Amino acid sequence: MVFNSDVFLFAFLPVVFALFWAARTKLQRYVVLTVSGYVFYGYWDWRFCFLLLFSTIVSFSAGLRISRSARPSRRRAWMVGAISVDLFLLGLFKYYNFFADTARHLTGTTALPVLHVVLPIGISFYTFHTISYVIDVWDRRVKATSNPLEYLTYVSLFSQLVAGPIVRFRQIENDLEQIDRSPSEENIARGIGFFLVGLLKKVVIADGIARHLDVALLSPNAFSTIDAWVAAFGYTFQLYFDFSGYSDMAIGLGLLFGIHIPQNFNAPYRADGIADFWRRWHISLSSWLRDYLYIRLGGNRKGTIRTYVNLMVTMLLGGLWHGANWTFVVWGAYHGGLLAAGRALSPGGRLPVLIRRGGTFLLAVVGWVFFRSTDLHMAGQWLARMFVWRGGTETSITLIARVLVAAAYAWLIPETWDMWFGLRLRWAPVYAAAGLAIYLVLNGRESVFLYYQF
Amino acid sequence: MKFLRLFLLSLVALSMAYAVSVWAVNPRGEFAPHLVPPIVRDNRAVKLRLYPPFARAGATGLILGSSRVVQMPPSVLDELTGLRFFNFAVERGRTEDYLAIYRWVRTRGPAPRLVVIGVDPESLQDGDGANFMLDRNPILSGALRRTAAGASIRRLRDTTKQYKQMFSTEYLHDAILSIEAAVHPSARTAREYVVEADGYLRYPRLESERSSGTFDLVRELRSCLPRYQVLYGGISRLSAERVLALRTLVSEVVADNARVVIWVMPNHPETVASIGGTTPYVRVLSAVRDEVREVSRHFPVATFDYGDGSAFDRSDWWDCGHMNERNLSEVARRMLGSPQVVRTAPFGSD
Repeated sequence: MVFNSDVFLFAFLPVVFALFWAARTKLQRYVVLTVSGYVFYGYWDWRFCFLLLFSTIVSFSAGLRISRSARPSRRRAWMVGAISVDLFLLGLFKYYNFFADTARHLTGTTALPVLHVVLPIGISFYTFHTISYVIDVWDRRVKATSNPLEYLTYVSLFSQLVAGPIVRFRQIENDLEQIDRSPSEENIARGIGFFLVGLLKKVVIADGIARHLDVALLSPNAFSTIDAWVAAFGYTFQLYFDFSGYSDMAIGLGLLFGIHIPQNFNAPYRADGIADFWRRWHISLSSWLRDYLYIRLGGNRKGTIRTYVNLMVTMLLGGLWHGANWTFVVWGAYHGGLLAAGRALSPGGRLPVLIRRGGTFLLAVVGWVFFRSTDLHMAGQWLARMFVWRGGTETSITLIARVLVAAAYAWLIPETWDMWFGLRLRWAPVYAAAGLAIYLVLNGRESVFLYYQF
Repeated sequence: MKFLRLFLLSLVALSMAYAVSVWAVNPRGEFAPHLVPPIVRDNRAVKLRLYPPFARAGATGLILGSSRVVQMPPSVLDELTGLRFFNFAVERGRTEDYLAIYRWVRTRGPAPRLVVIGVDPESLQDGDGANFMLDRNPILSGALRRTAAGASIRRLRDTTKQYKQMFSTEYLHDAILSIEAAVHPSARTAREYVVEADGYLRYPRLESERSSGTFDLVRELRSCLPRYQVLYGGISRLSAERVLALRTLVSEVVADNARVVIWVMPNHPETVASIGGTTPYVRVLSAVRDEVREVSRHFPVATFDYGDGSAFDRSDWWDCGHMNERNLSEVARRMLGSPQVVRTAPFGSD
């Protein structure tokens, strides 16, 4: 089920919303959110609900064991054990075939058989949710909850279950503890506002670009240089508006249920350096990688060379997190290299901010070519067309116009978190008119969010 | 919750106001009001409306097919056969559409004496999922499932779909064009389609461009080729249900003592050159030809293989897959002037 589908908008959401606010006690509301999360998840494939439940039970039990154990070695063993189980499941479903296939290509051996498994949707996200919980409990940053329903609610919260943001338990712990409070008019109004802005980003901007771009990207070898750059810019904005739109909708949905999901994007294409870009793009993932991987590896505390190695390892794994494909590995290495270079050389420190922003944006655009390509061959063809001149163009004016509109939005309009939302009653009809207008574009064109594949 | 209540109330009120407005404009001619002339996208509804008055004066010939045939002029077939043809080819036509249309036509009067059926990989394909244009047309989907159980639930579902489709930018766009055409009759050329009383469909804008010499077929081909790559990339085999629908249709027409002509519809040679090597088109076209041969082995039908578009004028096309009325008239002449068809008893004297 996706947020922009009829079944979600006209059946799932109204029913869950009504049941949630009709329920009065914490217990009832936990049950409503948990059951709704499993229905939401199971709508795609009910069998993987058991995987989600298993992962939840393992991390919940480990959290309790860690918090109740005084011996550091035992606490550590529980932490490592729970994370190993999570990573094993992630590895099995997401990466096993990738490594088996790579081993087969490199060595010619078929010792590792290819498994016919389907990637459970959202597994990368909920695995990171549960790992962050276990580490935070082990680190004593958060007190393990003894309420299994509260924890089930946290992991299965439908607004963030399938494609993030990667919310840590401690970030919404207070909201979960006070789940039985009355609805806030402000939360409802802001929630509707966020949801509509997200829907607009996804349905009007991202999908509008995708309709033209997907066809063009069938044959990147036929690109002229102009076509290749327009396609790269197009995908740059499609991805941003698709994922930030999804994140806005998730945040809006959270607010409708009194849960404050943290910011996931902060105008990333206005970043003035690659490090700044990563403080603004998919913030919940980049901060997760920073806190649970980069810093754990030693961060910048173990000398210059080790800092670069840590950056590279973090970004390589961050790339691989997105998918079992060499294109993501190269994309991660590319960004790791840029971060290391940025740290070593501090390029552009004295350049005007517009040039720094422009340069950062173009570097990000080149990176997205790897991210979008189905394999390295396609990426190579696409990049060759971008950087080796070839005249002519087949690009439609419509695609160029849509890319320009998206660029204007990304650079000139405030990020959703910085937008002013009318919270008074008189704004309700305006929101309704906006909702109807967006639905006219959406109707009959349901599409899956790009980050569902990760 | 005051904000939410007012939001929902406003949403319902605005939605109703919008729905009543576009319903009254009725741009696709599928509802009762006819305050302004309809602008057609899915011509099923309009042809369903046009057929009964046409049939009252006698309809003895029927053209079935997809959008590739909508410009086959009934007048040319009338001249060739002495019958009175109605062009019931529909956009995105599949063989189940043809069957549904024929069954519905049979409920409106005597059986036609000659049915001309155009088939191609698209109309028989297994790659495009549900036939939403047929599904959302309660009359035709009802005709197709005339004996099936649960009809009232399906009718409710179909009606719901019909109203839901009003909430789309395409529908709103059609409504605006309809109003524009009503307010400024000279703007009729802005309309994409106009359906004549005999079901013949005209493209006023394209025809106007052609007569002024500004129509650019090369540009059109370049623009549609990527779409056809995707389209035929997704067609790997024929649908068993659609093959069955074709055979059922032919058997029902033959049972009505009518004659059947089946022809394989082509793509533009440039299209074939482009998709031939990169998609399963050639293989699937061959399967269509095999199926047509198979039908002709079981039923007394005349068949014509025009799957090779290079046999016709390369400039008389609108785009990658759509011949214009000149080429389609030529198709009609070659088929109905053929000994295969003429050899049988004279038309109208069965």
